[in-house]
Formats: sequence, structure tokens, C-alpha cells
Amino acid sequence: MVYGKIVSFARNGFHDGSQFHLAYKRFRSHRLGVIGLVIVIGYLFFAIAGPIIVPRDPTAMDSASRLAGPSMAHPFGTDHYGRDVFTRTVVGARASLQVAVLSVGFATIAGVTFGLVSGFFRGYVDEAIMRAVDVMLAFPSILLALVVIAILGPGLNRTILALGIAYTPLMLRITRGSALSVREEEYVTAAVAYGERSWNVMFKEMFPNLFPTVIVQATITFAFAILVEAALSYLGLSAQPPTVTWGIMISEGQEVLTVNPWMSIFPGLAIIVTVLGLTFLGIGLRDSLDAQEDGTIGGGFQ
Amino acid sequence: MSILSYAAKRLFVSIWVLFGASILIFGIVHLVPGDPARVTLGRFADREAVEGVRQEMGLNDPLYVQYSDWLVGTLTGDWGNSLISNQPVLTLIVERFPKSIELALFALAIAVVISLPLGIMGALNRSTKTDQATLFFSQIGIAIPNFWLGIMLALIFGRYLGVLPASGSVAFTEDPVQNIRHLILPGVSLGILAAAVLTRYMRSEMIDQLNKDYVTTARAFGHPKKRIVWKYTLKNALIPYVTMLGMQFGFLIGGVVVIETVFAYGGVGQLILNGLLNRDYPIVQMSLLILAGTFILVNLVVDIVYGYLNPRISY
Repeated sequence: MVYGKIVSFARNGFHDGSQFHLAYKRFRSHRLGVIGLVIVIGYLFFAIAGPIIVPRDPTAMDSASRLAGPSMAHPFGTDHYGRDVFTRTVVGARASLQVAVLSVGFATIAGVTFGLVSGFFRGYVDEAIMRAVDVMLAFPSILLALVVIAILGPGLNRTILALGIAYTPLMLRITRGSALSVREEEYVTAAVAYGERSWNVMFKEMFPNLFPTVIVQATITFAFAILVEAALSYLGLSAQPPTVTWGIMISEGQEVLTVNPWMSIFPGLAIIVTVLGLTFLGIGLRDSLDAQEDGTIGGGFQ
Repeated sequence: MSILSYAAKRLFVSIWVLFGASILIFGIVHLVPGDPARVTLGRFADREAVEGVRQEMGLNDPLYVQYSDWLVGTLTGDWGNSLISNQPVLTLIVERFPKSIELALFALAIAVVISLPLGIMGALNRSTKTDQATLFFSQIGIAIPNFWLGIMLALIFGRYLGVLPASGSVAFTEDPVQNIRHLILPGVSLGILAAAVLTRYMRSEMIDQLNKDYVTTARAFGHPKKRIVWKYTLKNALIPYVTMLGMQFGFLIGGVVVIETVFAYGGVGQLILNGLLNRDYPIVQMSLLILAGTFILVNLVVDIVYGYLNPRISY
């Protein structure tokens, strides 16, 4: 059903004047959005192909040049074991992508499903779901993630689950909000009156209209997941060495900060550029899809 | 509905949420895979020691008894002892909690000092270079990892320039000047995200107000623009801003965990982290509960204040 929509989009959606075409045209002339898209593509490229294309082994130690600053041989310098910081920064993109994709994917699927159920059935179902959401929102998302880590213990996979759970109420709330207004539309009333099954009405009739809101919110959440994963791995609660993450690199660099600050500087810059790219993309998508967002990125930035 | 019944309704919701949060936090120990007593003591502990800890943690009682015991203990100040240092959890938290609140408030103050003028400036000079610069600042502020910013600030101001202390904390009653000096770097690192979000928010609320009909009318009646801006639009824009301020304060309370670690600040945040790494459950539970409780309380106050400031909202 949703798959069918996407296929028909790909086949027919590109006609001049179609919704998709209009959005595409708007996005193309949205300078910030395009910059964001380019950065995000670069990030995805490094995260997926990085470990294959980097010239060095991220764990190879060169004891002759330890804690060196940037040079031709080591553009980002070397760390306390003589490992190449550039290689490690590129490789570190993968862990952040892994956490962000899986946790936001989890939060989106769970949040959209429950949000649709809540907005479609309304009444008691909605009450029950929203009271549970209230409790989850009683914690700032980083604290909710810490509750989950307290239960499961530290680790990369546990961080994924922790963030997935922590972001679910946010996705749920924004989906429910839009679902409630879409629920009042005539085509939904018609589908219900026609006797279409609830599940079909939710995913076939309502979901395509929520899609812009969901995709924009997911993009922004993706950016936050990268930031929080970095913070958790900096604290030693996410992946453990020898896994390379930006947070671990910054934390290791902090120990030798006065000798070689570059060890912390570059992974930090990598985070900033990636998150900027994602928020720019989110703003571009929001403006060209005419979607709502929960206000985290606020007013228009053109 | 009057403001009083609205407040009562919000209070009721907050109590429910606090109750739910307490169950979730109580559940931490019980959802840990395996025997929490064994997890606490490590694989090589002998059977007697494990049984001792089980007794101490009350793990042999039925769940509802454990929960009600725990709840009564929590409400009467019997918060148990740290499993590692054996110090009373209450003492540990009472010592550190005010420091964390102080840090979060200081960060909030920094966020206000930055965001209020920037947001107003951006809105009044909409679509100019000033506006772009404002928005660019807020975009960077959102993208920068606060712990990284903290490390960089500590390096620059602590190490290279040597003008501000880069770790630790001093009580205000002991030495007010040193207290503030120790707060500046962690406060800025923690507050920058809130500053960025609030700048955007202030700007868009202000633009909203400037586009309202009453501004056009006032202009048509010949009121000077300055007076309209400072007397009317600013006041109206400040209502949602204050609400957002409260929400941001809640998020700052979550952020202390990370920033306190960067600056070895010694608040509740560091307590949580050490508790997590050592599997010291009583400390983790009570620290999380106190932070979540603060967050809930702040949100309650914000909602009631908002209802009071803006009588038009339907309760």
C-alpha cells in the first residue's frame, strides 16, 4: 500500500504540476536545503564507504609519530597511539549513522503507528496512549535514554534502543497532532463510511498526508540522535573502544588536550558539519513540502 | 473554567506523571537482566553476599510491597545507601542538587541574555544581513555538541588564556566571586543550545506580532513605530517566550549530566554518571527521580504561569 504509493510516485509523480514535482521544484531553489542535501550525501558516503576507501587502518599505530599536529602525511594529526585522526574521523561516521538510522527508524515506526492509532480512534484509546506519552515526556530525552541504559547497561546496541525509545513520544505527539486534523477531512470520513478497514484508512488514506510532517521531523530527530549519541559515547555509555566513534575520540583527546588539541577538534567539527547539514536539509524539506515541525528549528531561515 | 480549576487540573496531571515516572524508575532495578544483586556484586561474589544484598534491596518481597516500601521510603527521606561507598543517598543528593540547579539557572540566564536582544534584533531587521547573522548563530548553536564546546572553552579560557577556572566548583556562601567564575564556562557550554533555540523562538514570535492587524492600525493612527514595538509587540511576544524559557530550563536539567562531567563540577549529573558506570542503583534511581521531579515541577509552573499571563487560552 505505502510501497505502491511510492512506486506510483516514481512512475507518474514526476509529471509537471504534480505535488511531488512542485515540491521538488521548490526544494531545488531552496539554497539552504540543497547545501544540506550535499552535506548529508557526503556524510552518508563516508559513513557507508569510509572504512573501505580510507588509505590506513584506523587502529594501526605509528609509534614514531604520536600526538602530532596536522601534516601532509596526517592531515588531522595523530593520537596518543600514533593512529591517524583523519582515518578515525572518517570511520567514526559509521557508528553515528548506525545509531541514528536505527534509533530514528525505531522511533518513527513506533511513533507513527501509535500516533495514527491515537489520532484515528480518538476517545479512550487516545487518552490511554497520551497519558503514557505524558509519563515518557516527564524526562528530558537524554534522561529517558539514561533510564534505559541504567536497565540494559552501556553499549552501542543499547544506545540505539535507548534513543529509539526516548524519541518515540516526540514522533508520536507530532503524528497524532496532524492525524487529528486529517481525521476531520472528508475523504477520511468517506472512507470510514464506506466501511474501509481502520488499518487501511490509517495507512492508505491518512498516512500519505502526514508523510511530509513525518519526514521533516525524522530528519531533525536524526540530527539530535547524532548529537546525543556523541554525548553518550563521550561519557562512556555507548560503544566501547576499539569501536571508533566521534564521542570516544573527543573523550580520548580530552586526556591529552594540552599536548594535541587537534585530536578533539576534528571529530567535533565533523559532528557540527553533519548536524548542520541535517538541519539545513530539514528546513529545506519543511519549506518545500509545506510541512509542520515541533518548533525545534523555529522560524524560516532562508 | 477559572484559572484555579485549570491549575488544579494541571496539578492532577503532574501527580499522575510523577507517579508514572516513579514506577518507571523503580522498575530500573527489576528490569535489569539477571539478578540485580548479583549484577551489583559482580560474577565472583559468594552466595551469602548476594543474599545479603537481596535482603538489603528488599528483592525477596512481592513487587507491590517493594514498590510501596520504596515509595514510603522516598517520601520520608529514607533513600537507602550507596552500594559502593555505603554513604546515605539522601546526603549525597542534598549536597549536590543545589549545585546542579545553580548551574542550570546560570545557563538559563546566559541563554536569556543572548537570545532576547538577538531575537528582537533579528525580527526588527528581518531579511537583512543582521537577521541572517542572527539565524546563522542560532543554527550553529543547535549543531554544536555542548560537551565539545565545553572542552574547547576550557582549553582556550582555562589553559591558553588562563582567565577562568576550567574545573570544579565553589559554593556561593564560601566565595561569591569564585563561585561565579567557576560557573561561567560550564554555564556557557550548557546554555548555548537554549540560547540558539530561544533566539529563533523570540525572533519568530516577534515577527508574528509585527504582522498582526493591531500594529497596522496603530501605525495608521500615527503611533511612532518605536513605541508600538516596545510597548505592544514586545510584551505580546514575551508571553510565549517565557513559556519556552521554562521548557528550556527543563532540558538544561537533563544537560547537566554531560556538562558536569566535562568540568568535574560535582553535581547530581556526575552522581548519575558514576552510578551508571558502577551499577550503583540506589544513587541512579534517586538522582533520576529528583531530576525528573524538577522537570515536572518546572513544567507545571510554566503551564500555570502561561494560563495566568494569557487568559485567552482555552483551558
